[in-house]
Amino acid sequence: MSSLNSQPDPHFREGESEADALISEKLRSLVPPADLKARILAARKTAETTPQSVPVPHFRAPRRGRGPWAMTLAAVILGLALLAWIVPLGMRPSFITYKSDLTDQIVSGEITHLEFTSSQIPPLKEWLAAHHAPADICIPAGAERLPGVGCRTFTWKGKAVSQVCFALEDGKIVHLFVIGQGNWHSAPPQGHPEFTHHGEWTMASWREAGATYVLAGIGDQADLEKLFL
Amino acid sequence: MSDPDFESLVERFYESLYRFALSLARNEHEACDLTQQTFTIWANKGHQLREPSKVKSWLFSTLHREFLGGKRHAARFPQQELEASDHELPIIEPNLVSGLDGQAVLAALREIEEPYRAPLTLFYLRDHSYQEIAEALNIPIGTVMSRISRGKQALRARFLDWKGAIHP
Repeated sequence: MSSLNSQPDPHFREGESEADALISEKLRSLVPPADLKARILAARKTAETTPQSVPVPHFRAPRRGRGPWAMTLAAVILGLALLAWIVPLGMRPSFITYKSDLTDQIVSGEITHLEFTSSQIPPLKEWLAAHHAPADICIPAGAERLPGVGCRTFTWKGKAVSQVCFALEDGKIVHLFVIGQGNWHSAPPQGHPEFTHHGEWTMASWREAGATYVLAGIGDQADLEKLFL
Repeated sequence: MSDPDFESLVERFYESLYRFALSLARNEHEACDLTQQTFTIWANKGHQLREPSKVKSWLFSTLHREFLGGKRHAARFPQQELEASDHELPIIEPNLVSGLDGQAVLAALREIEEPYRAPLTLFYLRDHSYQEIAEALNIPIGTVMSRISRGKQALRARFLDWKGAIHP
């Protein structure tokens, strides 16, 4: 490696070079965490097998001459959406609708657009807390032993949802969704997971400490069950 | 998977990159993430580098860019170059430094504005020539020297403050 010693330094003055050497020595005495190198090498393995980010499909621009029709259609859709919001006011939200919306995100690839990446869970929780999303998360024992990949947050009917992703040994990613909502219509069980299947994806849902958790991953129920052991 | 080239690259540079990241970041976690992210980017894009001799500059440059991207410091710290008269340097007396440990030096570096901190840290890591610092930070060599000068000035002021606080 090259050194500054090989190059004349016009800013070194009498007495100063000694101080500079001392500062260098002290700065170089700082050692990285013992596991940093292993984490870098492990992260490369994960990165090689991490699925590529899937862009969210764009809406097509309306064709010329269809503006009024498009506006009418948009107004009808908006009206129906408002009705869907107004009618169930005072009722508990449907967990089935929530899970269906998560499934839509999985299918569209939106879940791969992480906003913060780290292999460590504490920084992920710190980031979520800083973004006013559920951060006091009870991670299933098996998942907690996995390296993290990253996290993001989004809102569902005005409530913040945290998404934390973990890397499995085979390179697949599992996604944990947490929402600070426990009072649902058709709520998942308290304290233990209920498994459902959506194509190649399996989802485990449960409630704990006033929050609702959904763990989603590609594979069968047995693959996901391991993450609770 | 075994990749001796990647592993040897990590072995050679990760400590130095981590120290550079430490001076830029707020804490160890962030420094680790910056270091790790740098090597992840290398794993994905390193093959695009045409000159193998520039690996070191590429790594430090990438880490610095990742830091700036994350913090958007470029907007918060507009570029301020020194006038020729600013090259007059105060001397950092060894007795200002001798009683400090690594963490104290790091704390002092972190209090220096980022445009001066990055070149000064690379200077003190003693792994880089001025030319390599210029390449890593993508600034002219004259600017590197100016910023190191200004950085040393700020560092000396910080050490003097501490000394004044201990021995008023």
